[in-house]
Amino acid sequence: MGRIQQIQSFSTLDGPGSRCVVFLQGCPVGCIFCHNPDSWEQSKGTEMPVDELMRRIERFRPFLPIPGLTVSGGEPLAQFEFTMELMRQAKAEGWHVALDTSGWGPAQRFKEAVTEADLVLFSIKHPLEPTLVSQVTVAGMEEKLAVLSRTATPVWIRYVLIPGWTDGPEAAEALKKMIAAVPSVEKVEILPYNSLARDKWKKLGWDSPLFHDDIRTDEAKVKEFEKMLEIES
Amino acid sequence: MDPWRGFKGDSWRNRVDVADFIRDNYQPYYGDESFLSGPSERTRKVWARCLELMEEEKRAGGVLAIDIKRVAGITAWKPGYIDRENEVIVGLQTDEPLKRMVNPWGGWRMVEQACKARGVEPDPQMAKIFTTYRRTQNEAIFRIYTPAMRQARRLGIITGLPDAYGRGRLIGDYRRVALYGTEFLRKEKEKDLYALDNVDDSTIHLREDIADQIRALERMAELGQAYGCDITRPAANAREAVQWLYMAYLCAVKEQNGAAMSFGHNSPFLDIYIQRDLDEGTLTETEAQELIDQLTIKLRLVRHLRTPEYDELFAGDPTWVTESLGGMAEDGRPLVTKTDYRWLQTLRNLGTAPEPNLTVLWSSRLPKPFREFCARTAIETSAIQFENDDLMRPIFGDDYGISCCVSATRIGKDMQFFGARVNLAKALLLAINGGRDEMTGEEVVNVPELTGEYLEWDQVWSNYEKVLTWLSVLYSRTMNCIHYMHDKYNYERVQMALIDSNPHRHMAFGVAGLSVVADSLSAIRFARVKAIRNEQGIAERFEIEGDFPCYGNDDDRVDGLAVRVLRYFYNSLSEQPIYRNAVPTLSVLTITSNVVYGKKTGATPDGRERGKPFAPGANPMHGRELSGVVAAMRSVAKLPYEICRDGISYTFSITPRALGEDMPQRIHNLINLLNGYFGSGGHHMNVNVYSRETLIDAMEHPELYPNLTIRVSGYAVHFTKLSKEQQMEVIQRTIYERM
Ligand code: SF4
Repeated sequence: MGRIQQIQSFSTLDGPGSRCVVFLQGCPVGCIFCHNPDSWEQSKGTEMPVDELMRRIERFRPFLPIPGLTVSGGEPLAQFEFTMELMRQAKAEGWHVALDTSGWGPAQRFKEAVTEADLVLFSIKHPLEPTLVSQVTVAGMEEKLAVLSRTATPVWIRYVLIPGWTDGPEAAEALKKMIAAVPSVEKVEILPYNSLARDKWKKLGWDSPLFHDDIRTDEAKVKEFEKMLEIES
Repeated sequence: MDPWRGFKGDSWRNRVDVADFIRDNYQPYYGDESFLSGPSERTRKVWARCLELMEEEKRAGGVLAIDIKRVAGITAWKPGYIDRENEVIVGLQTDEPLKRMVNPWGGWRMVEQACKARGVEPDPQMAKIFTTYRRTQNEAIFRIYTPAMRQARRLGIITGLPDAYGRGRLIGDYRRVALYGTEFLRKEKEKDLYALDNVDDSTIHLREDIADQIRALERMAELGQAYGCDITRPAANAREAVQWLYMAYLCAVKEQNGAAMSFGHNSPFLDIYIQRDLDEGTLTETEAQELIDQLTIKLRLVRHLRTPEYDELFAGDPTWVTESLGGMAEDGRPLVTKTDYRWLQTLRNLGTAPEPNLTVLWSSRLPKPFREFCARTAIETSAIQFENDDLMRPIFGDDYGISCCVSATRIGKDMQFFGARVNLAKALLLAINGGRDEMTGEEVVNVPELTGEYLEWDQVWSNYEKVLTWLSVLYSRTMNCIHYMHDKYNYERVQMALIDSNPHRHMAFGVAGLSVVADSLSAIRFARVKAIRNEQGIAERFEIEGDFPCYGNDDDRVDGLAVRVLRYFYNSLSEQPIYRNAVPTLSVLTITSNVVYGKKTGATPDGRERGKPFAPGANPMHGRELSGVVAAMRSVAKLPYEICRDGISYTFSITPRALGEDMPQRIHNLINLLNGYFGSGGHHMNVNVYSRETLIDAMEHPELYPNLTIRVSGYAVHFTKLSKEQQMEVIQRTIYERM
């Protein structure tokens, strides 16, 4: 049984092509820029076995010429067994499976999951001080990057650009190095931050330091940062 | 010169059979759009003049001029022109562009209201004729309405009925005039007239109809003459074919102000003539495009005089000059021709506009370049709609067109009795409130009072069945009465002259508020719903405890409830006697009136507040489709087309980024969504690609967005022509995006 927050039947933003995305419930990573804070609480969501979930997404197949599934969250690795089983079954049914993760949990599990996936969407929270914006530690991050540096699974790096928090030149420099160390990186996505999730946080009675000044990232900032990384979008 | 030179086949020569002519002579086109041409100099000039006039019309508050002296009719006006030397295709409804006609056949009261709203006094002489000597459709209907019909109409349970305006919906086979000329058609009708004898009511009725049609054909020839076109004979070249076709349509819109005056499915037909001229070297591609551009200009100038009440229901002054494109032939060839591309090209050559209402009959077997061109055009313009050819062709054959918004009709073979729709949500509230209207407390129908604080599923459903049965009786009787009188006092002799003499008739019933009802029933069944009743015992609002599945998330529990309601209602309608033995069909369609219907409906058990808009057509309610567009499409595709043959309208809105990263991706993804939706049995889809910010900006700075066209249920409108309320409703709709 897994806990599902939501099934999104059509997305062009979570991996290649158009695909469906399963958001798993529960996330211990606590990012201050999180757009999906409703996914944090472990006990919410709907319980569902893998078969049932597969039945649901199978119905979307006629709309997806190359059936693609992204397992996202929440943090999928927080429901490790379920995530593994889901990936296995989906792959057996011919789905292209992407795992959207921040690499939470033991390195061994991470390695198993990465090997199982067809594509890993790996979020780097901050290359130098991840604890500034999340619960990810430097040690935790580094051991996951070490796993990625040895995998054949294609990797997309995702990075949320927050002015004043994650956009410094040192961060860019460090991030560039990290990316260079993972040979199977296919793409780097610099995601602009906006405060559209503020209402969701408020509803939960929570606050994020990012809400105090109206922070948002414009297109130009993203371009500039990409330049620093020497990548083109 | 022999007008039929070079044409193949025989069967169509001695009897009217345009479909056969097309089959024998059209050439499918498998290539891409690279052959297309821009607007000609003449087109540019004529269109520039039209834009000025439309600007003046807008400044004048929406109506440029009204001719109050003449009664609408085929030959009521002398010829009118926009820019005579540059007009390749001629003919206007009146003697000046955008001047509106007074059409009193439908009802004098409407003429008065419409004129008064524009600060014009109707002609007293005409008033006298149409109030003293000549009975109108509207007057006749209201004389025989029963008190129950008046009440249901007044309370908004049955709404938008064509009892005060022309029913429209008929598509004459205008191609017949181009292929055969009016003289041949007249003779064929005479044969039909004399083949019948006056045996009983229904044959006498039919014979009178045919006699009227013969009269119409004579008048049409007179109009042609006035414009220097001898339409009594077949068209001899492409320009004549387009001109004859348009002349025939023009006669229809000179005499009828039906809500929807659709144009048909003309591309393969016209393409035969254009191709022949191209082959003979008498026409260039630029000239071919010019014909379609100038025809389109004419179609964009069609106007009718409407009342403010009508405008509230059907916002943006639509005329539904629906033209169908694409589709597959029954022999497996695509019905796609170069002229299908030329129609789509008008959106570029003349700029985006709601009319004609371009409708692509979609099949997964359409040639790839055409699919891509259609998808790109939809993404760039938000002005076209798609319908499932693979679903309709087995029922209607391959020579059908879309009438009005979404209703398939065999060209020249079928006619429809348009019936607007009932408000299913109000019907549910009647079931909950012991048969009393929730807004006024009036007693409407006799059903048991519900007991208990909480709504019990069994009780509610059993009452709902009773209300729906009662409503199907009342609704069908109302329609019988409307169409009897419409036939009698406002008969569409022009369109009917171009349809077979004893056509197949559909009675086009409709429903609104389906998603509200599905979610309400779901809440009652799967959560607990407490009715908060006033001292009269009427539920004023509802408190919901617990979760329930909402329509639009591919959840069979609630989607099944929507289907169940449709089936129940359709089955009861089918048991009713129907005027002229018409076959009942059903639509799930609202046009823009989902706003008005919502206004007239109290709070509903799904949590929708009193007065709030419904979702358009068959759409899920705004903000409740939490599983993304594919899940929403799957839900809509479950509604059974076999009983909803009048059409199931779904409006899909997405931001450019959510559809894909760049144009090739967007085209690719849209094609997959269309294939997926139609492959799952979906019927119709409006495609809108824009961001909410654009709409908000357009609301604040309308002058910057004169051409912003959006698709609403079944037609397109200029966004800036909607009322503030309707604009807000469009903005609040689900536009698929991700933060
Ligand atoms: S890992 Fe994702 S879901 Fe978890 S807190 Fe961070 S952004 Fe939110």
